[in-house]
Amino acid sequence: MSITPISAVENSRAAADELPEQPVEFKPMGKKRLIARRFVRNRLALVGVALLALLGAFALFGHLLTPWHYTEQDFLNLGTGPSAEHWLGTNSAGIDMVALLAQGTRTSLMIGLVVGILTPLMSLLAGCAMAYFGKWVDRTLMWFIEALIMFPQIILIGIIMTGRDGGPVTLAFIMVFFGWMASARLIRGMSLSFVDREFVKAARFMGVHPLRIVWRHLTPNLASLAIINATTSIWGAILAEISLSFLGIGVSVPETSLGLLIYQARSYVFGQQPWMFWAPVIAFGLIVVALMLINDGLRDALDPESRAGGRARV
Amino acid sequence: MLKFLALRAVRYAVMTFAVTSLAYLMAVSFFNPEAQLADIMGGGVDPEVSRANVQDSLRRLDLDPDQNALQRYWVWLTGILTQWDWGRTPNGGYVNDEFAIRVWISTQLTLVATVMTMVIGILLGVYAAARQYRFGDRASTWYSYFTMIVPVPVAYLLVQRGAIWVNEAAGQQIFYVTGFRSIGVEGTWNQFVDMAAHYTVPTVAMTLFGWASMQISQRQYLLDFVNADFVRTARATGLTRSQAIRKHALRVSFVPTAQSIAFTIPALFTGTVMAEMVFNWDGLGSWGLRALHAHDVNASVAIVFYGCIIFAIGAMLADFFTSLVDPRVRL
Repeated sequence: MSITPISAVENSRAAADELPEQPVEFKPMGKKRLIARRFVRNRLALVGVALLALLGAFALFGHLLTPWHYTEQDFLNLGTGPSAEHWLGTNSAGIDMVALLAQGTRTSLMIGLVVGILTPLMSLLAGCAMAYFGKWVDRTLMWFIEALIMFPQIILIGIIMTGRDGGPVTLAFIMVFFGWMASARLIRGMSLSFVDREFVKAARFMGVHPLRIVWRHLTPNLASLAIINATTSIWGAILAEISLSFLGIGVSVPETSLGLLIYQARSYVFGQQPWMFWAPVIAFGLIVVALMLINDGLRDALDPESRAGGRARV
Repeated sequence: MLKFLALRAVRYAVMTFAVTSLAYLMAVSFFNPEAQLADIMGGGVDPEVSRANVQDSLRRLDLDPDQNALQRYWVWLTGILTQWDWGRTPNGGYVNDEFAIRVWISTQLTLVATVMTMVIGILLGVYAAARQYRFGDRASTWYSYFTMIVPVPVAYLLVQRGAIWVNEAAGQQIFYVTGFRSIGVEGTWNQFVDMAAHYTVPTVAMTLFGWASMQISQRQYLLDFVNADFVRTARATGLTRSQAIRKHALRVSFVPTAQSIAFTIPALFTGTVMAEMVFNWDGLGSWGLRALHAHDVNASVAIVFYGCIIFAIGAMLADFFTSLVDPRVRL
C-alpha cells in the first residue's frame, strides 16, 4: 500500500514520453507530501474538511452565539419555541437549545476524536507487537482479546458508567478499551508478512530495540490501513455514544451530548417541538457526511493504484 | 472433530469463568445498591433508622453490604455451584425465575426479524454482487450504507412514528407500538391477531434497519470469487455466467456467511436492547438495563454469564459450520 517517490518519478516520466519536446526536471517528492497533494486535489474531500472544520468551530465557539449557558435555566421560558432570545427554543427545563447543541456537539466530537485516534493506534501497536514477538506475547494477547470479545460489552460499560457515575471522558476511554480488538487481529495477520522481511531482520541484527523495530519498521507499513480505520471509528464512536446515551448508560444529565439530546426529545419526532429532535440528528448527520467525504479522499490518496485523485501535472 | 470441539469447550468454559468472576468483582465494588434502595423505600423520619432498614433487607437477600467483595463472591459462587442459585435482586425477586421469563420474551421479539434479516441480506447481497455497478447493486448497497449510519434509536423512533401515523390515518388501532400483548384478550384467533398487531412494528423496524451488514458482507464475499480463476475456467467449459456463479462462486462465498449465521443463532436468545427499549418489550435487554440502574449485582452478572455462554456456543457452531461447508477444513 505504500507510495514510493519512485512511482511519482515514473508518472512524470510517462508524461514526459507523451510530450518529448519539453525538458523535464525531476523533483522527488516525499511520501507525506505526495499523499497531501493527492488529497488536496480531491474537491469533495476538501468540502468534507471544511464541513468538519465548521462543525468543530461550532462545537468550540458555539456557546458564544447565545448568552445562556448549557446548565443555566431560564424560568421565564420553559419549553418555548424559537424566539429572538432562544434561537432554537428551550427545553422543558428552560435550558437554551443552542447552548445545549453546541455543548452536545463538542462532547460527541470529543468522544469521536479520542476513540478515533487512540483505538487505531492501540490496535496497530498490539497487532504489530503480536506479529513481531510471537510466542507467549502473541498467545497471551490472543487470550486477552478473546476474553474481551466474549464480554457482553453493554453490561460492562453499564457497570462502569452507572457504578462510577462516569462522564464523557470516562466513556471515551472505556470505548477505546473495548474497541481495538477486531482490527488488532486483522493487523496482526497483515503484519505477519512483514516480520520476516529483510529490513526487519537487518534492524534486528543491528541490535535495534524490539519496541523500536515495531514502531519504526512495522507500523509505518500498516499506517494507511490505520488512518482509514481512524475516520470510520470516529463516526462509529459517535454512533455508539448515541446508542449508549439513549439507553441511559452513556453521558448523563449535568453533561450533555448528541445522544442525550436525541433521547430527551424522543417524543417530539413530529410532535410539538420537532426541532428539538431533528437538530441533534442533523448535527450528527453532518458529522458523518464530513467524515465520509474525508474517508473517501484519504482512501484514494493513500491507494497507489487509485486514479480517482487525478494525475499529477508535470 | 469431537476432540477439537471438546477442547474449545474447555477453553471457553475457563474464559467464561474468568470473565464472569471479573464482572462480579467489578460490579460488587462499583455498585451501591444501598443508596438506590434507600431512594425507592423512601427516607422515613429518621435517616439512621431507614438506613438500618435498607441494610437489614439487603442482608436478608444475601446482599450484605458489610461483607467485602471476596466474601460475597464466595457466597455467590457456592450458591451457583451447589444449587444453581444466581441470587436475588435488591427488591426481592429471584434472578433464576425472572431470567427465564425474560429470555422467552426476547426470543419472541427477535425470532422473525432475525430470520428475515438473514434471508433478505443474503439474497440482496448475491443479487448486488451478480450485477456489480448496475442500478440494482448501487441502490441496494447505498441503502445498506445509509441504514448503517442512521443511529439505531432514531431509526426505530421513525418507524414507530410511521406506525402511529398509519393508525391515525386509518382511524383505528391497527398496530401497537409498545408492549408485547394487550390485557384480557380471549380466544385463540383474537390472541393471534393481537400478537400480530404488537409484533409487526418492531419486526419491520428491526428488519428494515438490520440486513445492511449481512448484505454488504455477502456482496463482498461473492465479489471476491466472481472473478476468480476457477470461475473463469468454469465459464471456459461452456457454462453461462449465471450458471458459473451459481455452481462455483456462490458455494464458496457461503463459507464466511455460514460463520456469521452461526453467531446469529444463539444471539436470538439475547434479544436486542434497543428494540426492547424503544418498543417497550420487557425482555432480557430492558431487564438488564433496569438491573444496571438499580445497581443490581446478581442480575447484571447473570446476564454477563449468559452472554459469554451464548458467544461460546456461537463460536463453536461457527467452527462446526465451517467444517461442514468448507472441504479444506478438517477438524
